[in-house]
Amino acid sequence: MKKEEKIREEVEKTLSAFDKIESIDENPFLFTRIQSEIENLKFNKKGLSLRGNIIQPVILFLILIINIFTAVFFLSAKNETASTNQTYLSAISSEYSINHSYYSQLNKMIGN
Amino acid sequence: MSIENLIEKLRKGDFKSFRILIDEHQKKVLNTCFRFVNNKEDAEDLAQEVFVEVYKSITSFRGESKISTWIYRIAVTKSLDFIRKKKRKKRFSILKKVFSDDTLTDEIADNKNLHPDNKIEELDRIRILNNALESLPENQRCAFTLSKYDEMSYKEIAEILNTTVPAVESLIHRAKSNLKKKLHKYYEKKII
Repeated sequence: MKKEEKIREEVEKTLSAFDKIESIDENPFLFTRIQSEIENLKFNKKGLSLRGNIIQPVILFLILIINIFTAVFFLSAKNETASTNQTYLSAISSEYSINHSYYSQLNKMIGN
Repeated sequence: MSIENLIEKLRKGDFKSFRILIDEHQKKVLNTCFRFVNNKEDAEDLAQEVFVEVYKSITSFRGESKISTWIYRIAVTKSLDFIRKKKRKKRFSILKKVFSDDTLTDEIADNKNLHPDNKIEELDRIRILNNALESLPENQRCAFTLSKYDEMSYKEIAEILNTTVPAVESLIHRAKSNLKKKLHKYYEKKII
């Protein structure tokens, strides 16, 4: 019984400590701190957007160049293959004295 | 200057209006954060973050609630995020825990040289109270802290926590009863 009373007393005393918790005072330098952080954020944002402004067009230009180069290389390679095939066919047909119609059939089969 | 005028100027990035807003709400924001984190330096850092957030997102403030309610909502959210991060960090710092069982113990030890005996007892009770508060569910803790320390009305708390007034009443009632239970348990072990 005595213990229970003591516990209740302690609980009440501890709960009343709420009113004793002090509040903290305003910091006169807080505004300056906030202002400098906002300025920093603005500066970083500007830096980022500047970087974005330069890097984005450069990357786009590089991609375009790579695309053009690939297309030119692919087309020239295809033309070269086609002319090489034609030369081989002519050589084979003259070697084995194949007539013109057979030659055309053979040409169709290959797809030229 | 009317509040509408102030908000309008803030939206345009006017620092003078921002200073007025900070001067008006700084103390309450600081103390709201302090009640949650129990550390002056952390509370100041959080208050700074709160006002930077206010400056950044003032354009998204639609004026559906009072600007003060909106600011305190940011303060509560930031404080809770801070506590969550701290708890996560604490889980990994087992070694630290071995050397100091409580973060407030060091503070009390430091204060022992500065305060008389009754002050030490008071600080000890505050530490016990804060520990009990920390173990409450987050929503109960928020409602109770805002009502007890910041003397906000149930309506204001409901707006800050995005809930209804009856829900706030219930949260505070449960928080009080849970606090009593936890303290009872604590002293039951302590008093032989």
